[in-house]
This record gives sequence, C-alpha cells and structure tokens, in this order.
Amino acid sequence: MNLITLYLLLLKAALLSFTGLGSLPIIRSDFVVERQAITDHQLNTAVVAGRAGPGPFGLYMVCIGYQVAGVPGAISAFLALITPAFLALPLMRWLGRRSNHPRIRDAIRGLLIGSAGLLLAASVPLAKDAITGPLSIAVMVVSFLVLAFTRLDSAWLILTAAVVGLAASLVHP
Amino acid sequence: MTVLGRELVKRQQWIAESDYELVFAVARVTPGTSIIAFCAAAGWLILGWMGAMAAVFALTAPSAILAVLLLQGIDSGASHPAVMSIVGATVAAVSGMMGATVLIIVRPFIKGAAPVVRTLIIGSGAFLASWKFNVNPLPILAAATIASLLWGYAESSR
Repeated sequence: MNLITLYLLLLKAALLSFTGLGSLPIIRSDFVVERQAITDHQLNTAVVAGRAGPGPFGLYMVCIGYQVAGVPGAISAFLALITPAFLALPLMRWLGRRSNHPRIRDAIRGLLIGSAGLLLAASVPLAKDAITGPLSIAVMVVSFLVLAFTRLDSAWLILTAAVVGLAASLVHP
Repeated sequence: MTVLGRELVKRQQWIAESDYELVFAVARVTPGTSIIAFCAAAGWLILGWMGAMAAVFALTAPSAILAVLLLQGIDSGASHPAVMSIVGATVAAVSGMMGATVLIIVRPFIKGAAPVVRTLIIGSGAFLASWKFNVNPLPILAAATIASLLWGYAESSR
C-alpha cells in the first residue's frame, strides 16, 4: 500500500469519527477486512500501544501506519490524524456560535450513535481474538467496569493489565 | 479539554472564558479527535497559525513517537512468553475498554424515554447492519445521521 493511499484511508476514518476509537470500525473495514493489510491481532496491538502512553485516544492510528508501512507509514498516519483538527479553524469562523444549533447537534448525535453501533460490531471479532482463558475474561470485564463507571485514565488500565499479564507469566511460565 | 481550559483561561489568561466556550463547542463538532481540534483552535486564537501548529504538535508528536516505540517493543518481544502474556492481558483490557467506550458514547443520549428509543433504534440498526449484514461503515453512518436529523425534525415540529 502506498503512503498516499494509507493517508487517505486513515484521513477518511478520522473525518468520519468524533471520538478517538470512533474511527476503529472504518479502519478495521478498510485495513483488515477489505485489504488484509493487517490482522485483527495487529489492530488490537496497535490500540494497546496507542493507549499505553499519554496522549489522545486516536494515536493508535499512528501505530497502524507503522504496521502497514514502517516509519514513513507512521508519519503518513500522524498527518492523517492531525489534519481534521485544522478544520476547527474555518469552523470557528463559519460555524461560530451556531455549533449548538439543534440540527447540527442532531446530525452529530446520529453520527455518534451510529459509530457506537459500529464500534460494538467491530469489537466482537477483536474480543474473540482477546479471549484466551479465564484471566483474559476477568481483565476484560474489570476494564469495562472501571472505564465505564470511574474516571480512571485508560492508560492506567493498560499498565495494570500488563502487570497482571507479567505476573501470570511468572506464576505459570 | 476542561483541564486545558482551566489552564488557558484561569491560570495563564491567554484566552477569555467566552472564547473557551466557542473553542470547546467547535472542537466537539470538528471531525476526528476532539482534544486535537481543541488545541488547534485554542493555539490559533493565541498565536495564529503558528500557535495552532505548535499546540497540535506539542500534544501529539511526543506521544505518537512513544506509541511507535512501544509498538516496536511489543513486536520485538513477540516470541517471548512473558511479552506474549503481557500483550494478551492488555489486548483483553482494550476489548473491555471498547465496550465501555460504546457505553460512554451513548450515555449522554439515554436520558428520558424518547432519547433511549432513538439511541436503541439507530445504534442497534448500525450494529446489525455491520455485524450481521457486513454493510460498509460509510452508508451506515450516513443513514444514522439522516435518521437522527429526521427524528429531531419530527420532534421539534410536534
């Protein structure tokens, strides 16, 4: 896959999402299902690496770019990640206070709910890849509950899961 | 964005409260990751184009490099049992987080009977279209947007 195609595919995913992981269903459709450029496991690993450190949620796109085309791919993906942010500048001028207009809120609400449904659909095969035994099920359930019902940053969840995984490997080498 | 806003408005006093509200609202309707759009807009208000570029790069570039380094670390240790175990556990955590993200996205829209019905119909429709019928995400998102617009229009004209 060439860098321009990579950039455009990731840009499309970024432009059609309003949350960090909202782009994931589109990325999975384009890169895993249609082009087989990466596997579900690689997609999962990219999300892990993107969330393990500080920074915005969408950073996993940079990891996907790296997996597809190395460092140039990561740069291409980084540019795709930040490009939509600059739409905020003309939007400030043209949209201004109208950003709270009911029709605009309705459109965004529909887009967000639709992307939630898509994210749920995309998470099914990823969850199948992730479940390897009782420990992974427990980690999954606890992660869900902690993120959904507390204000703990997700990076701490990733780090805790890593420690749990390391401890499990020491107990059952 | 709230923490950044407090820093920019209260502590540094680089932007006014009303500007913060505008930047916040625009960041929410800008496609992509809201916090990046927020930084672009706030940086632009403070220092123009250079401010926007500097804010976006300061937010994303160091953490993007760190993410790639972490990915390299995971890949290079992929054959080691301990690394495999760590990756397995973190992948499970990510799966749980995805489920939680779905809940977090829809939570603001499930207050009251009518919004719950609207969310259930549009959300489950999108889920089924993708999971059961393998429909491409683009038409699903377009249909969800149109359905929500029509729903809102019908509600307001009642």
